[in-house]
Amino acid sequence: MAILELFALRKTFGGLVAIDNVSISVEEGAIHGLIGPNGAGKTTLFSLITGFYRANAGKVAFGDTDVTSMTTSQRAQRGLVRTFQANLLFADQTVFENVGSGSLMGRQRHALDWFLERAAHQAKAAASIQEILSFCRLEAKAGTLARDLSHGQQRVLGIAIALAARPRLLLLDEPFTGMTAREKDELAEMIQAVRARGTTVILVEHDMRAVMRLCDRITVLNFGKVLSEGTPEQVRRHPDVMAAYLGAA
Amino acid sequence: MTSRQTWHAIGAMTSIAAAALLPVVSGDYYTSFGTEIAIMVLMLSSYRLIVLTGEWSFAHVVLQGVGAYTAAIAVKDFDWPFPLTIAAGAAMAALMATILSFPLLRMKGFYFLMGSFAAAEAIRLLWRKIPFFGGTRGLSNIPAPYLDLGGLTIDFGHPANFFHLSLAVVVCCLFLMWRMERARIGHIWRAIQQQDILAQSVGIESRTYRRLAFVIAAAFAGIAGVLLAYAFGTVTPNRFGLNFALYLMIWSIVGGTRTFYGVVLGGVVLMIFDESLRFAEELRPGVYGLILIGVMLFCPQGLERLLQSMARVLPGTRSDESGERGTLSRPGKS
Repeated sequence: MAILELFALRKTFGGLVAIDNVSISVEEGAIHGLIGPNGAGKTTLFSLITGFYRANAGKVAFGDTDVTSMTTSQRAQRGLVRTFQANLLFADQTVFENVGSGSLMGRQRHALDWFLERAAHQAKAAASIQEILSFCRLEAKAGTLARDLSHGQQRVLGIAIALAARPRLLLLDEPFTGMTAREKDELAEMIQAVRARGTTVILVEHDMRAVMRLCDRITVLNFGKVLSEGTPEQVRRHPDVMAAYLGAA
Repeated sequence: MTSRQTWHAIGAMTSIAAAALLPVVSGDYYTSFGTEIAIMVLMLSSYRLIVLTGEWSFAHVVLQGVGAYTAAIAVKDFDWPFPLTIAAGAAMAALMATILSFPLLRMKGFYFLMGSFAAAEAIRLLWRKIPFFGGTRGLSNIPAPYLDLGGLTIDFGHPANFFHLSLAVVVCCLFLMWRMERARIGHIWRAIQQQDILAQSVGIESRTYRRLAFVIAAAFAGIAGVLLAYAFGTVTPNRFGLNFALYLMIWSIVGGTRTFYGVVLGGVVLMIFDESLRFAEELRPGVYGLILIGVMLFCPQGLERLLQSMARVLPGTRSDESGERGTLSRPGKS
């Protein structure tokens, strides 16, 4: 069953067609890769899916709901959550507080807690934050300010914040960028564990080793259009994909 | 309660107790001046709610004016009692802020600031031009509140009585704002201020919560306006002009907006400083400019930073560079 379906999405910036008639279906529980050369439109497509950009034409369906006209936050509240290419964090907050900020809209609480926080709910929230920190192996850094973390830890914290928002579909935008080999292995494990928790993942990534290792299906974009789609093996052998990456002979 | 929270609580209680003794140790003039400081502290603290979302506004003083005019009209034309005028002042200011928020919050940063200036001037123009609001001379002869509980009567026209009444109202408002900042809504405002796009990506409807901050801040400004109307007995459009809006901004920056007590400190210190410059009215803008430049150069986080440095020497306290962050703390810490 598809958790996300894109129907003939189109996005233009002035005369530039960034996304042209893109239709994709992402199966629930899958890790779906989105690859393509620089400028292919991957991040633009992420922004269209999550509502940061509005499509000029086409439709975004999340589960049974048409979310095309919804705002970013409305989509996030339904479980459509993304991370960013840059390390977007609450830099002046601790790691613990960052994850707490990610869960601000997710916690079900008494209406009064909006204005007057009660101790019982603080404890509940803290336990849930601890669980995410432990899952992301950031427990030891809980009290550290986000701006003082290493690049790799900041990438992981970005994912932890997104997980705190309780996503049904998590869109990861180049999560492996700038990481050491060891950090990449740990992150790959973590992404598989995220899927094991029941969260579908869409992965934009240039690290082909990670993409081929993690993804069940891959969509290849080039010049804003779908060039190819299939299993990692099918995509790897597709002549158009090889031409797009290596240049036409 | 941690040691830091204990010291904060002791500091707050001591400050309130010391302030309550002001009429005992000084005359009517300084007691009335104390009332002005209390009102200013309420204004600055409510202004900080907007700053918490990352915006600066010129409209806040005019929203105080809405509260003041509401109280003046309610008392003079309808003879409403003090508690009702407080509620009406807060409600009218909040209503006006809600209306203004729809066009204003389509903008951010500098554009929001300029938009708020235009909105404020438009409202002031209405006060000046519509006879119902008394024109440029405003509304005067606002009677002081009067409490009659059978045998017990309190005339709040007396400076000491009105000071205590204002102090009680301001302390209640400050307590509410303090609790709000530490609750979920406060965390949301800080998240929007620090990283608006990230906040949206985790489900926070940025504009809605910026609006909420603007409206709640206006309600508290409205209460400050009601107190001001009673304190001076007159309400004029000029009292809520650009000068005051600028001073509000300068005092917030000088005090510091990262912590709850920063703006309180800035308000108290600069009000006293302002009063001491009364003999040289024309020098004030220049002196404020110098203070602002000095703070920007040597203490960019405001006076609150100095207080934090001093607090470090207290036992059980720790450095907290990012200021108060509310109650979202790790288990075992609170």
